[in-house]
Amino acid sequence: MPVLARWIEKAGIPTVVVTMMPNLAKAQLAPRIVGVQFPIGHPFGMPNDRKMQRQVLETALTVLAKATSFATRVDLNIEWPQSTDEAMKAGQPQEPSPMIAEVRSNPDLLRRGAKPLVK
Amino acid sequence: MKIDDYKYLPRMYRSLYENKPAIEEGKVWAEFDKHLSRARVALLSSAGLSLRSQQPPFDVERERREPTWGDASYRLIPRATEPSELAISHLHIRNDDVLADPNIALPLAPLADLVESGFVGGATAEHVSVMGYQGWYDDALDRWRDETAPAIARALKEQDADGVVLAPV
Repeated sequence: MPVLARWIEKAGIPTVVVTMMPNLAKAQLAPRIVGVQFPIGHPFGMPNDRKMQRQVLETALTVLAKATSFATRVDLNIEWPQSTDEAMKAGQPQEPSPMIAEVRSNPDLLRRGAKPLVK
Repeated sequence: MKIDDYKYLPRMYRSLYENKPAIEEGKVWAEFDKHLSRARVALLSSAGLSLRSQQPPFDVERERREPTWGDASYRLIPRATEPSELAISHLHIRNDDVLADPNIALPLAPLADLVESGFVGGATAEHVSVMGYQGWYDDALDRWRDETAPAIARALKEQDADGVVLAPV
């Protein structure tokens, strides 16, 4: 996704990436980044918490419009209102994805050709 | 707050993501040259959302058969879409919360609120949905770079998007 942002930006449209993995987005050179410490699958926050969702989007739009230099990053200071265990559970699929199942049965896959997966 | 990318990920993911060289090098920059209150913005989610009654879902059946393959197509989602009209196809995240409230991945309602309050000028008529699992090997990115990304950029330009908020899930 950070590289998709770069391709869209190259086409002339400004981008901001809202992400649970801002360090990865930075390493992959996304132009503008908003980081959130949320579980996988939840970039704008808790289901039905419109206030939290709006706060994240407002921050993203502000960074989109106001950032003046490449690699601008703002991390949001929002505590996730669930325990770490609950948050892990909220993010992970009920059964391992086909590729993860494959890697577990054949760890050699990690050593050849593995690349940053983007969820 | 210091964010730990791996806080909510199983341990094995660290080796998948950490210390990977950047796919591309160098700066890219497009100037955002409007006041936000007069700008039109688009959303892009990688949650694999599609319109239940009108669009084919992302092809997770092929991915089940070929785990190193990921669907690189995209869908356009009208801004006034009801949450109940959205289906999700994504084998790498838990779908329950996105189905319960798609705004956590594609914040149509929060954006409508911010347009109504005047914080931002408007939303594009349609937003963009992709399915974020791109496949396993580096050449899987070729189709994204050569076909999907240019098609998405064209669609956003046709809709006069002044900027886009991307949210990987």
